[in-house]
Amino acid sequence: MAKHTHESAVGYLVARAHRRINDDLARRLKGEGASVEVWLVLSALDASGPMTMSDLADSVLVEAPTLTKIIDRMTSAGQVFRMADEQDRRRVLVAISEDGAALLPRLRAHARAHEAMISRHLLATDLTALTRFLDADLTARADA
Amino acid sequence: MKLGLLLSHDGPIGVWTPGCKAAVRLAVEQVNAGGGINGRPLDLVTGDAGASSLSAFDASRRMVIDDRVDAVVGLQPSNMRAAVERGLGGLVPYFYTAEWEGGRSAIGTAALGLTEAQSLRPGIARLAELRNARRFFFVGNDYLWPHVAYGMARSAVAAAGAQMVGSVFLPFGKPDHEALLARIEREKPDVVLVVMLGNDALDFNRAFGASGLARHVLRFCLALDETQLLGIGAENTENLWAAQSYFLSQSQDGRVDMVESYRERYDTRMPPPNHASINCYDAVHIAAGLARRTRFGDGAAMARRVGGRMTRDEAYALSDRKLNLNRVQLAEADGLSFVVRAEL
Repeated sequence: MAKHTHESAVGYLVARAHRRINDDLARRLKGEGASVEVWLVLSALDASGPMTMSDLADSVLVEAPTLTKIIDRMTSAGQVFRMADEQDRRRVLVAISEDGAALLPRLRAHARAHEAMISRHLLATDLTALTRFLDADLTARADA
Repeated sequence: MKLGLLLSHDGPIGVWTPGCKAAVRLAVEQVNAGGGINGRPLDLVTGDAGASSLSAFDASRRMVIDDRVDAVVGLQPSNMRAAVERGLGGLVPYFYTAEWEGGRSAIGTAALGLTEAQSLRPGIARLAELRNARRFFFVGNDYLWPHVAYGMARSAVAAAGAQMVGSVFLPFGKPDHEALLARIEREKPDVVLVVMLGNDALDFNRAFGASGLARHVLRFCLALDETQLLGIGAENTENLWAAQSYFLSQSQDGRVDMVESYRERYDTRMPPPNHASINCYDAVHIAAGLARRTRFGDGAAMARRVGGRMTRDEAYALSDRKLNLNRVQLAEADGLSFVVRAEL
């Protein structure tokens, strides 16, 4: 049996793969003046409509204070804006603007090309299995 | 006829960019639907003035030289206004829509924003009276507009028989307010006067709310509207006051048309109108009115017509559309909206 080092642990391999994958996507999006976070926020808002800050933070995998700064910057860039929730006038929703919606198809094209690059490394069956593995909540099962 | 719109896509003033863009697009569409400028269409060119005087100068120069615009509408902080004026070189009129310190500006500049003389001075007097405020503390960004505001605040506080117990000027983009909030707590002011710009006002007001000071200390903020309340968050807006020419929650005579056409045009795809976007909207109709009155819509002739000391009222008189020169009101935040407490 191979020696158990941090470099062979599944968690480490996933983290390293994440970094490599993220770097590639970031490099592609940079040409449009966008970041991975900008792409994720616009894509989430386009799919779900206006969202609360906490739902959006969950969806794009960042902490609330980080998302606040991201939304401040994206507002200045004219891509999103804040609005009051009609159902609860004390609650803030974030929405995609006309300019954000116009930018989104270009970002989506880069994201597609990036996905295609990754899937070239995998057989279709492997990709399905890998996607299923990554999508499962791996920590949900009891350790006992 | 080409109209340039100069906004900032980064820096503190960017918080108003989406709303101003939307309002200007609507106004341009209205001008064109009404026959344009003497039968010719009005084209919109947008530019990014950035966050520095240098970028503002470059963007405005490009607008006149490369884009050959005939008039410019711009929302810039006071410290970038001179750079835009130099960039435009008096070749086209410049409709300046931000709140500012008043005084003289270059030939061709028509200032449509409020000055502290209309907001801060009467606001301090009314707060002293309504809330029996005796101790004031001043927080501003470190540039022209807040420094002039501080001078006016001192005299207004003295005139109200109250005391200025401290002042701090912060550079742009400094989000760490811990030491400042501790000092404010020690000085025990009744009111903190906040003369900070855009996103910087958001950061300060979030921190102020989170610190718990908001429960006992009033804030009186300039250049702040519902757009920023949304960024500050309902949990941080207790005892927050502002003086403004337009509050969304307060439907005013003569604004109903604009607000309704805006809602019809954008529904919820763009942010609701605010004081800055309304100034930009008005500026387009004023520019169109001026162009119709000037032979060939010649930029330099329009700039000369504006001159160096056109008042807000004189500028509004140029518009062919009935625009309402809004009253200045003092309002208190209630969650994410404002409730008007006094006319100033």
